[in-house]
Amino acid sequence: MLSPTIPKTNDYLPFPFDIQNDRLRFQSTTVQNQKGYYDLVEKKFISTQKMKKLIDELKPDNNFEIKHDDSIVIDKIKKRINQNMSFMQKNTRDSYSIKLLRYLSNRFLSSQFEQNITTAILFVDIVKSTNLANTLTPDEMSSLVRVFSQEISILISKHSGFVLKYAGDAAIAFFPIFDNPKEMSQNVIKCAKSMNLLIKYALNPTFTKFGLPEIKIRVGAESGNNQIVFFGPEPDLIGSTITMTSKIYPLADPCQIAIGEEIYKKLNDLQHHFSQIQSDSKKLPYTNSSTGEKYLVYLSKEVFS
Amino acid sequence: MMPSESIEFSIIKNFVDIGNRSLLIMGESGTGKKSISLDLAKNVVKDYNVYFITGNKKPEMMYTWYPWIKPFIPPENIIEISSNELISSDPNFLLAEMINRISSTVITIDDPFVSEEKSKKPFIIIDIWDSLTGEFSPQLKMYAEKIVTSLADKHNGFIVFLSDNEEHSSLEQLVDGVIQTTKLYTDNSMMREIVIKKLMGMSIQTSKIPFSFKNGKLNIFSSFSHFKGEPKKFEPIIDSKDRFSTGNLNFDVKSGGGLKKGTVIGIEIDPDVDRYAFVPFLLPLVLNFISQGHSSLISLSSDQNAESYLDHISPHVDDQKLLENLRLYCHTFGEVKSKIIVDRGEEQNFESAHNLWLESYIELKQKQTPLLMLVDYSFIELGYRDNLNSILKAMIENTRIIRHNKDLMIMTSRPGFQTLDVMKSACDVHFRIFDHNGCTFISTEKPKLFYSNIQTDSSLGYPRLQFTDIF
Repeated sequence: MLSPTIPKTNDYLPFPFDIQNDRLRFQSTTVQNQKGYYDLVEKKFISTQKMKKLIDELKPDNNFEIKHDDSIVIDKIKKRINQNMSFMQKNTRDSYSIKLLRYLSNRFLSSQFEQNITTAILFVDIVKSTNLANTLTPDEMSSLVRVFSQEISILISKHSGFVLKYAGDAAIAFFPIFDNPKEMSQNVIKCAKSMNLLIKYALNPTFTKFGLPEIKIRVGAESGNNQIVFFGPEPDLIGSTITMTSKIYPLADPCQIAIGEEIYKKLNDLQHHFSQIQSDSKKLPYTNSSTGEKYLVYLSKEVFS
Repeated sequence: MMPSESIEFSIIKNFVDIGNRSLLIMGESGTGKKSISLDLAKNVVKDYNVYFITGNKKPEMMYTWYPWIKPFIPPENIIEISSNELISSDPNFLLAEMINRISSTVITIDDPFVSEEKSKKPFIIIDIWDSLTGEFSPQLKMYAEKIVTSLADKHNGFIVFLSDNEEHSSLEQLVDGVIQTTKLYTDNSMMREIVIKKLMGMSIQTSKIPFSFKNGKLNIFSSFSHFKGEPKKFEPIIDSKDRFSTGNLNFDVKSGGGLKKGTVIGIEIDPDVDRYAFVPFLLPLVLNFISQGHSSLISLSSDQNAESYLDHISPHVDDQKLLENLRLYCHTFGEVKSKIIVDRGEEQNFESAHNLWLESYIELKQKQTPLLMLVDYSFIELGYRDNLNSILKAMIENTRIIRHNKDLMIMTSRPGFQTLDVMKSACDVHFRIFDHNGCTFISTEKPKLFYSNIQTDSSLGYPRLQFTDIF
């Protein structure tokens, strides 16, 4: 299995973030005296300088985490959201960064076609989005979801993950093992926490400014084996982990994180942030196939509202 | 609908919309290739940035010739490769230069984190293809054709080749569409045509589209349309001392201020022309007579229903004026409901019918106001085949009465009828209405005044003729 290494410096990544040798997608060219890449699918040119800056913004960074007092990161994100919210009224297309992330995700999975890979899976969705859809105009709703999707996609990438797919106001991400399984699990938890803080400190204040309601999210995560398959032209993941995560995440309250027992085991220092679900009403009706015991689910003690 | 937005022209626009990448417009110099390409560009500007690669036309010159392109082709998009360059430079270098220019029209990403605007694709018109590739060997020419057409695909754009050369065997195969522009000369007028040779993915109903130019803009002729919209009351145009207004200011201008009093007008109409063409032609004239208190005496053909004929007139003029000033002379099949309708009976011979006609004329003339007489002699000839001599005599007699009383007579006939020959010699002005490639035209045969495409203009709340001159 191809297991890329993520350097902890700001150097270019060899894979999956390099694009220089992908001639099926990117063609080196010069336009208006600027060197860069012609994206053969999007049929657009991006200068080398902008591409480098883009990848710098997207590539994983083990030190990255949104904290409530990190005004530099939050201000940067707020500026980006502001800009997009202003443009969203007239623009209805994803930014190039989202298209690139989607391509990188597909390329990563395609490179390991039909293999079983160990990944952490993360589900995130907006709580009570049906109510939102009923109160907002379609344009407002699509602006809100588009900005939300872009920002969580960037966060996922910063935490060494890829977006597998979007489903309306929800997204499914996977976090492969790059260095070691513990790091993968910790990345997912850090990402889930960052997502909640992103909503609280950057997205909601900007939504309010633009007359949109505040949102809350629910996140669920679990790790294990998944099979890479192709349904149609794009790669996908199937397996018990992805299914289990889809059952786990509705158990979280708004602004809370729900995790499965497999990921919990690998958390070490972070385990004390979670407590096992005790209430009968929230018990999962599943058993762990290897132990035959009841499947355990843990909820974050902290609620990020 | 603007002329260039006609259904016929929309096939070429749709050809661009469905994702084709290239079009070759070929035709002799002066047949309208540039105008067609620019008009096509104007129709697709919502999705495309338009570039014009030209040999010797600076932006100012292009804007002087085609002022209407200014809103959608900025000066920087008019790329000039001068005649000097074309003569003195290596064609290979110029080809490379042009390819670079086309490549630099590619969309660039400014901020990868900002939601993308719906980006416009390049629409490139190449006006220098002949001069650029004229000295190329056949192999190099084919290579150049392949490279440039592939650029359109690569950049998601559309390329239009303009060429005076009518032989492009390899390019014709490479491009997605080929149209040819031609000129046809008729008497002292020139008709232009777009001949569709190939448009991939399109179902071609009409392979020839007639057009002309108006103020440098393309005027595509469309098939004759009928009146659409809410009927409104007619506002009369007061006659001058010597002339009757046609009720249509455009027509008055074309006919030198209206139709002279005491004139006999002959209209020859080809059998394949939609008979509705008479409505926008004659209805404003009839309405103008009636609403000024003049009289109108109209002979309907045997297949025309008086009530439905009246339906064309009555929404636009007061009932009282109709009753006083209009007589429709026709077969009523025994159901006369109005004083307006004069029944000529079924079994009468022509002479007694004609006498009844003259009685109506005399009745209307008792008011001592001008009168408009409208007769379709081909239908009378059809109805009274055995009385041809009497019909011809009556035609002459009518013209004499009209001229003497300074009234106005409109007589119509069709090719194949003997009344047509008499009409041609007896009338003072001879109009001919005919179809060409699905469009309707009018020309004045005697005297030679104008030659125009005609269409129904519904903008005033009644049908009137709209003329587009053929130069």
